[in-house]
Amino acid sequence: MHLDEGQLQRALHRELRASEALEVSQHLRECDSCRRQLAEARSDETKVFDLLKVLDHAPRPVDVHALMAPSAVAYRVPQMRWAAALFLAVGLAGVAFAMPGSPLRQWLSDVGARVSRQAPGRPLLAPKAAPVAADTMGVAVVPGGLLLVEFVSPQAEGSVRVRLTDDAVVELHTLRGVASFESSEGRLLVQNPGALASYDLLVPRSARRVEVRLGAERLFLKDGARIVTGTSADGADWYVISLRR
Amino acid sequence: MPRARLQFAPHNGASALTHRSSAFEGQFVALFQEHYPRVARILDRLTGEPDAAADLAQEAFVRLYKRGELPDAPIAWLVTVAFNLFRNSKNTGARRLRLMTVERGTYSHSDPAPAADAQLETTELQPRVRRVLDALPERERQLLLLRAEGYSYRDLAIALDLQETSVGVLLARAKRAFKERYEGQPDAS
Repeated sequence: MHLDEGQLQRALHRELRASEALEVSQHLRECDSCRRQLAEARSDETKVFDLLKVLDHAPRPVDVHALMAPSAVAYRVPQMRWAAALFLAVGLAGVAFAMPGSPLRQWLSDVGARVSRQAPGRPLLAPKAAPVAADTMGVAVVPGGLLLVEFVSPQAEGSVRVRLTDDAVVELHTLRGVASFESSEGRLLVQNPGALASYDLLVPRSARRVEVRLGAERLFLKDGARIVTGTSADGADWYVISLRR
Repeated sequence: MPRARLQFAPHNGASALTHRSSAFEGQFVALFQEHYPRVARILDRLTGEPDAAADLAQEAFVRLYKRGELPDAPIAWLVTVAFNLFRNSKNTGARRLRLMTVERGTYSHSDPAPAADAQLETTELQPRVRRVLDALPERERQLLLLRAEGYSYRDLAIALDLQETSVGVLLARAKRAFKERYEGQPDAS
């Protein structure tokens, strides 16, 4: 009797059951045919597994401790399906919202005003028409407990104007230029290397803590009712802070 | 065009967490360090989309962490969750939606480029291997990918709901199917 296919595979993978290990080993020592089959099985497997390697990509480094952080556990991957859909839908809405003359802005404002009356104090996307230039793009973020707005790099020209509003969301608009925004928990990153744009940042008075930084440098801090910045508000209540360094 | 993303920041994440023992955290870290690359590689091979694979693998580990204790067969548990996540994301199309909304492949710019010959060979082989793998029945595909990472028959049996005694025969069948399909292709070498 020769080894069957299951026994050959188990021998190949060192998965022989205790009850058969001795018998199979003994047989392999004595049977050329089964030894040959085992060698072929090993060779075939190596070829198949080597071929699978061509599908591999370089792994993305992941910090396990970041994965264990409360934010990651509670929010980073809540429900991927709806999160993905939400990202896309809200992203499209954000773009539509930022389009010059967008009816979405007014519609949201109307809806927001209605719902605000029904549920006072509840965070809500309810931007009102903001005094922004015609060629703007923007992003809106619910501030939560802490929001850090970070400009990645200094610019050759341009500034950020900050104004407090009665809305519930932080809005950042790019004026006369381009930059891209990346939002994650508690952080809005402005990718502005090489940009010459200026920005309008609308901060809700109700936001607990909103900080604006240029790299590591703090430009503006709203901590409760306290405002910390190197400049005073102009006649239209804008804090104008240069991004030139 | 600038990329504009709107996202709602969380408010009270920490309050939802349960206490986890430091022993569990240590076990989790050890498990992650040993198995994350393998689970991510399995999903990468399965999906052909490294970023989606990394996301799915991370989600599987986050779910394990949220569980607060290790299951009896943690590897099989992780693989089962990862396969289910993949199946769900594929079924709903959410995987594609997500790929449209995140930056992709940032690591690819910093990794050393493979040697030209090796790159050419890989580029030529990749679509063939992909076609062959995709054409296999799901169970055979999963068996191959799991065993290629060296997972035990017991883990394979639990993860894929098989009798442990049948794993060897099914593996042999899967390898044979792969080899025959690959060699049956034009230009296979």
